[in-house]
Amino acid sequence: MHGFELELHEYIYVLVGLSGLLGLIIYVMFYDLFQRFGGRRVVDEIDDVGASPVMSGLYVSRPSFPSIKKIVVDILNRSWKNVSSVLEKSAWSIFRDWYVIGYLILALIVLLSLIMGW
Amino acid sequence: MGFIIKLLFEALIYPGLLTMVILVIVTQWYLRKLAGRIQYRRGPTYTGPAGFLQPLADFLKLLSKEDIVNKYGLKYSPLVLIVLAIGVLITITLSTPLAPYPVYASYDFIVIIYLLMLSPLALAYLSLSNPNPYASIGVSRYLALLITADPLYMITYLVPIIIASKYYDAIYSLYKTSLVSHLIWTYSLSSTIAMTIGAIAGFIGLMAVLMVKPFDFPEAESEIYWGMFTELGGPRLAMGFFLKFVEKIVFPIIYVLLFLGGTWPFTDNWLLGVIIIFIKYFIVLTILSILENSLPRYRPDQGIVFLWKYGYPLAILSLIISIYI
Repeated sequence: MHGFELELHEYIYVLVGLSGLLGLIIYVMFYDLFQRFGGRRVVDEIDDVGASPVMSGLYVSRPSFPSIKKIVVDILNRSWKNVSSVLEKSAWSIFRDWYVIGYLILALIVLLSLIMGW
Repeated sequence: MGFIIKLLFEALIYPGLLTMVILVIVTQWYLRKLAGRIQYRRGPTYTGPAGFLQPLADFLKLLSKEDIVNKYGLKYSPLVLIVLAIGVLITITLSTPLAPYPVYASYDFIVIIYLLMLSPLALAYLSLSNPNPYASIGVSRYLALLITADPLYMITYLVPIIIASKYYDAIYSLYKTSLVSHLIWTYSLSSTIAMTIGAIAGFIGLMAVLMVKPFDFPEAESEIYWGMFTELGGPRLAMGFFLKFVEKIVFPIIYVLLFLGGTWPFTDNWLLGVIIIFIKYFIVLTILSILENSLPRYRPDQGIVFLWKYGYPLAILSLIISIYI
């Protein structure tokens, strides 16, 4: 069978449009309808903790939020071991070096020349 | 008009939404039965013949529960992102030989790479939307895994795309490449080497992206309760599982299309081609499931080191060969 060869921008429109349509159908079919008819809250239900955070069966007033960034960096540091510390030091030494400042000044001059039309 | 009707048929019926729901039920039943056999259990037996409808029953049970979000949680945005990610993954199948009228364009694989990235992001966002310390640790591990595994996975997929576009006029398209992917293996000695190395690295990347053991440390049931999924329940857990199961269908199918010859040996017959794709897909799924049930879990740093040590050199080598042959 033959397919439809599209231009890239048409292809993106088609893919994004169909994804949005399917997403909407999935939301209505699998979430909204089930919540309307199956997952309704019982009106007379007494519920002290329904919307409150409960952890390990205990009610807590405020959950703790571990820093995701710290954990990700820690995992990557552990996996790289010595390499990560060497990279950190060398990256910092490169950044401090005189030619980075030189590059910045050069970039500034180019930017200025473009703005001023030199 | 005919174009739109065909597209809508494909998106909603085959190979779109309806087919994907059926495939999710079939693959989940198959994986649970297989895991049961490996662990000396019988797997699902109660609902439907041989327990075939058990995944559907579980899904419907979760969907019918009350959706509870605590006061620190986000209500709608995670759901919007998750249904959009499911829609994206289903729509990508329209650009494969599974579709009777595939849609494709020059350089469409770049778009597909971007769209494939949405599903891990949606899963991480859904998990974080109901705050819990264990979920945060799970998501952190997931992000560390993704930062490492996603580029590896995508680099390897570029290998067949580049070779097919150079020598078979595949215009950097997933569909066009999958039609000639069996020819790439035998084009020259260099292409055989590139494809062999790329296939190995791609499989490692596939395991990592799908969180198959030993890369399942973002879930890690015995360490951090259920990691990413700890705080999810009811319809939110159902949606998260739906996305994860659709990932387990679409990602291996792309691997089959690019590395395992796609429709080969039935390249001239669409129906037989589709059947052979599904047979190859189930073989890949079986291997993944056997690995899942046989291997122990890595620590997060061990898993990442494994990818850097064994995955990346192979992936980069195959990419370099594919560029210079």
